[in-house]
Amino acid sequence: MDRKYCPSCGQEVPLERTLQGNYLMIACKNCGLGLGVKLASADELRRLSAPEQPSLARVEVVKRSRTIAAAVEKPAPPDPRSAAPRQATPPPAPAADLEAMKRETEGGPVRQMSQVMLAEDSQFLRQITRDLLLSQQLAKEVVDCEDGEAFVEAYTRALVDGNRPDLVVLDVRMPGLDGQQAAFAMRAVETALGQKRTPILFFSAVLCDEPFKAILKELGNARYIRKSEDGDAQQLGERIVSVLGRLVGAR
Amino acid sequence: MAKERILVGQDDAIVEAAKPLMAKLDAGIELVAVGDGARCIVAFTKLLRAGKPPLLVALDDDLARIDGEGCARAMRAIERAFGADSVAVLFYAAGAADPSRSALLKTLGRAVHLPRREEGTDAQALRMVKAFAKLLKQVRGQ
Repeated sequence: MDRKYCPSCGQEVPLERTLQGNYLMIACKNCGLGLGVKLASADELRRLSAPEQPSLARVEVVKRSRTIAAAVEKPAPPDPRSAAPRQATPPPAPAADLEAMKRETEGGPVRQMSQVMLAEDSQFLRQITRDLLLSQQLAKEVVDCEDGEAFVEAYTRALVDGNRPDLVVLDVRMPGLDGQQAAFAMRAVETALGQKRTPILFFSAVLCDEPFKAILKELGNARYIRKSEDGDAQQLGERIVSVLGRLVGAR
Repeated sequence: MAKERILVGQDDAIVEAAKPLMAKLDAGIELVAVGDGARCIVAFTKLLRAGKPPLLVALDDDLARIDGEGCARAMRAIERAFGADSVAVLFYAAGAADPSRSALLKTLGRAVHLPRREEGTDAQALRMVKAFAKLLKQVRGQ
């Protein structure tokens, strides 16, 4: 029995796994949620049956009252544009901005970011975004923070240590220091320490209205993704990775 | 001799009136006023990096970009990143501290709330300087 984050209650709980035909059934002991993970291949079965966290290469979620059926499919075949193995790609220079990051990778090999810093108060969303970023090889390392204060602390420490992340992903609504204030604090710390502006990707359930567009402009080097309307965490995790993938030329 | 600093997240006529009063009270202290929350964080981080943290930080609740509460939370995070001690914080805001403010003061530690009163600029400046003097006494006494 493993301890995993339940996508329903968000708690780290013991998850019981049993095989039923083509499905790996996972049950949460805390809230009673049942997960049916469709096994696409023998390889997938081996991976999912391994004690490590299953790869979340691609997850499709269908909600049925309190039951979620998740179909894990085979990862997409490698992009023919990226003939060279990813490990052979030389370490990337720090991205100057989101546009430059996109330009420099268009039509070229996949650019893997060294580090992404993520601030999100939902434990499950942090976990799934982290897993997706790593499994899609968009980032070598993901530093995740549970709120705006933890993020400002981690980001300041990273700058002081000369370990600036390539990208920051911020939830807009967080308790305490929200994403917008955390972003302004982050820019203030950059100014104080004479550092470049790290690209910011916001995600939120609220529409990107004119006032928020003005904030993005003022922050500079910042983009926005809207969370799905039904608040589906896995769908959002996929959207974030999809946008990042396009930005860095992975999709 | 370099002056010690009080960082004030509020840049208005009250702070301007408080500057000469503070200088009269203690010539070794300089009031550094900044007009918004982001500038306050810039100034605070620069001082911490230089190893010269302010003696205390006074914050208006209604600062632009990052409000007083957000500033205080960000400052505590930056202090932790630098491994620095907590700087005393004084919130200068309308009304008495409500339960959520009291909880915030407890969370932040070394933080007090000074209610703003409807009175003239000079009277408000005097109240501000008196509050600074009281807090400085506590800070220096530790």
